[in-house]
Amino acid sequence: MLSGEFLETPAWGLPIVIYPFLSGLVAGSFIIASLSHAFHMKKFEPLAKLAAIVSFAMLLTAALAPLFDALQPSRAIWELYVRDHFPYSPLGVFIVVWSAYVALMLFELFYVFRTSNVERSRQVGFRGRVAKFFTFGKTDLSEEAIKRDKKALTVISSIGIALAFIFHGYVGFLFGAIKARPLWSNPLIPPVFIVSAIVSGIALVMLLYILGFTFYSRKNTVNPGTLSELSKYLLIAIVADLFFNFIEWLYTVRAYAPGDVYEGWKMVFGSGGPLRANYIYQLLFGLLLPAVLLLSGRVRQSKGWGVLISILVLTGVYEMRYDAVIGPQLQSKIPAQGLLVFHPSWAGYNGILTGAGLFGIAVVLIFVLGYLFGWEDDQAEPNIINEN
Amino acid sequence: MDGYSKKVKESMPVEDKRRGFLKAVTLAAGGFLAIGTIFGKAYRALAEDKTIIKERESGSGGYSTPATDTGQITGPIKDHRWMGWMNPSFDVNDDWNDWRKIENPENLPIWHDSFHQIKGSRPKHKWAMVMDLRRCVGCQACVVACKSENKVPLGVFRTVVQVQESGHMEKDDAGIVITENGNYAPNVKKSMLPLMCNHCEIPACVAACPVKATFKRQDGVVLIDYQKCIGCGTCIQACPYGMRFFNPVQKTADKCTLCVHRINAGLAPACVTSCVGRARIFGDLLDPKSEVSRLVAANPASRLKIREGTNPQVYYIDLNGNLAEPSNSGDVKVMYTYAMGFNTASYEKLGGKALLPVVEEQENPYKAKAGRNE
Repeated sequence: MLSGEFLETPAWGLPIVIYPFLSGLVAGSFIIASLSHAFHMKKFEPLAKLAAIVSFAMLLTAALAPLFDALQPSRAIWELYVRDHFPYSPLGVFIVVWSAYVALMLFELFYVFRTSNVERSRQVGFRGRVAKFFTFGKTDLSEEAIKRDKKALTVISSIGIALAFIFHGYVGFLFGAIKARPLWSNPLIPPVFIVSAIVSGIALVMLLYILGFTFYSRKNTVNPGTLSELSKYLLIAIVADLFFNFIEWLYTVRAYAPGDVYEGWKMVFGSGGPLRANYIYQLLFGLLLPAVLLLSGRVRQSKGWGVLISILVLTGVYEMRYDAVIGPQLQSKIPAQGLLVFHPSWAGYNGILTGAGLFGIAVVLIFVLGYLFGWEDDQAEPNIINEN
Repeated sequence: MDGYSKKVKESMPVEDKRRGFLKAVTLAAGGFLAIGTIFGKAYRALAEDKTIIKERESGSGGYSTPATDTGQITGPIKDHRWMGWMNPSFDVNDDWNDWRKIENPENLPIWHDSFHQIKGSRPKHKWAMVMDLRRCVGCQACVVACKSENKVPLGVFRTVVQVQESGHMEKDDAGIVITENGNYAPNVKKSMLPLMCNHCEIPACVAACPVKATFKRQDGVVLIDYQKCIGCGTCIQACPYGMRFFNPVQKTADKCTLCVHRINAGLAPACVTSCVGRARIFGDLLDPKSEVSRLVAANPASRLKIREGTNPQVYYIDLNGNLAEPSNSGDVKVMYTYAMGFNTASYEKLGGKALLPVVEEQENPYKAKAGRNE
């Protein structure tokens, strides 16, 4: 078992793999949530609340991941906010973008859930009290007020889409800004990250939509129209992702790439390389196979295929993050050291258990937020137990 | 459960019960994972502490070193645990000094970015290092001196000297390597490459630090404030030379300080003093009469990875550019280094499976123990 520090050690482990994965889910699901608000797409309306909750839960967890990977997390929050190296350090800018995003999400959540919160605040018990608090005294349910909510949501979502692009593009830039790593130092990294974020975000919302509305919903069922529309957007995003992957690969061909980029690519992803299998999985099962399947109209409307495809896409995007974060770190910067070896340990601050815990926190947050605020529309809300 | 909600639960249809069950199971699984991770980590740490204490009490564990009453070590240390200090938080009584005072005793201006201003600020010195490779024999004395001077933990290095061999074996009847296919003689050449922090003029690592923990002093030394470092690893990634690392004891980033405590006192760095062939020369580039300035002016001096635009301040004389590149496998036929990374594929190819080093320091062995030596 390899443990400890060496002459050169891949400093960023599993939490940093999960960090762009989760923040990709944030950006992707936020864009889905915004489609109905900003562009008034009727078919995505049932998804709006679910996508908003998922996005917020992932946003909170995404910031935890680099915090877990830092060796002095107790200092990190204070130092990052008080002595932030803005705008020179990529991570220093990230904390500003993240905070802005959290603030925007709070506004978005307030307006998305205001109507249902007002209704829920009549309920007895803990949920009612929480809902009452989060209305912030704005209990006006007249048509005019609801119209104003929708207008606010349009504005917030439009800003939010831009911020989602900045947010996740910036996560890509965290890696792209590091010129010392030949495989990271690539202007294509931000667009690749953004596109794969949209892919994974749509896949996650699709998965939760199918599972949630089939097994957990009392009043709604999965709408094949919505599912088909979602699948179409997924297909478009996958094609864009494939395009960027192709360009990225093109710039590693020996004739077109600098020596260190070519050498690094060959060592890590070439035949016999440690991440070759991951790279093939990422392309073949994560993108190509789902794209081929999604071409069929029957698959696009099927729940079973939808679950399968979204799981394939999600694991494929996870592999992509793994390849993008771990792979370039395996290329040694010290001359004549060859390829570094990376084995994530089971326990430890950047071990597998920590990674699983991060996902666990995200799942719990989704359920807690869904329990407190509701995750589907209340159109068919049957019997609210009224106190009076 | 009060009577009302009980009644509601009983009157639920079967489907709702199943749904409730599903909800509970999923929530429990997620929660269990999250809580288990946090507590599991703490439990593991506690258990390890306990076993170490037990081993020490019984005297059986690999942790104990064979020592006489006077504290002299008489036998081999069974365990390769690094023996450093328990609390690296700058305790003066702990043979460790207050780094905040040492890093900048004269209160020189420091920079976290905009390094072009340094030139205009009229610095008194600009410290630089010259590696005269014509004189380097690859003895690793500088590595050892650095380790002992700066208490660098096991497994990591502030400076290393790569010893590389290029060439091939030739068929020769009088060759000293005898095989079934005939005799061979090595026709090889050895080249040394001492590596350390380059104290760049435009350090990528300093600009990348999100909390301004690392800085460049006016006289050119790049340092880390260990009490501000959050250990995020961005600087380690951003250094083009791979010369930053996580200090596993201190839990922060760490690097060569150019022996700042020695330069402040007017001494040369430890690696320079210990160099047997005077291959490492330290001095002030602003002083045209210094040995460093003369060497750089009189010889074709080159620097590592100039294309990164960091303007490094370690000058190499007689550097073979082929050997200084990371991807030089085509040019170097045989290569090894005394400071080879144990976690590399080339080490695995040599047949080594890395077991070293596990760094878990619990106690300060340097501190005089009660009842010992007195």
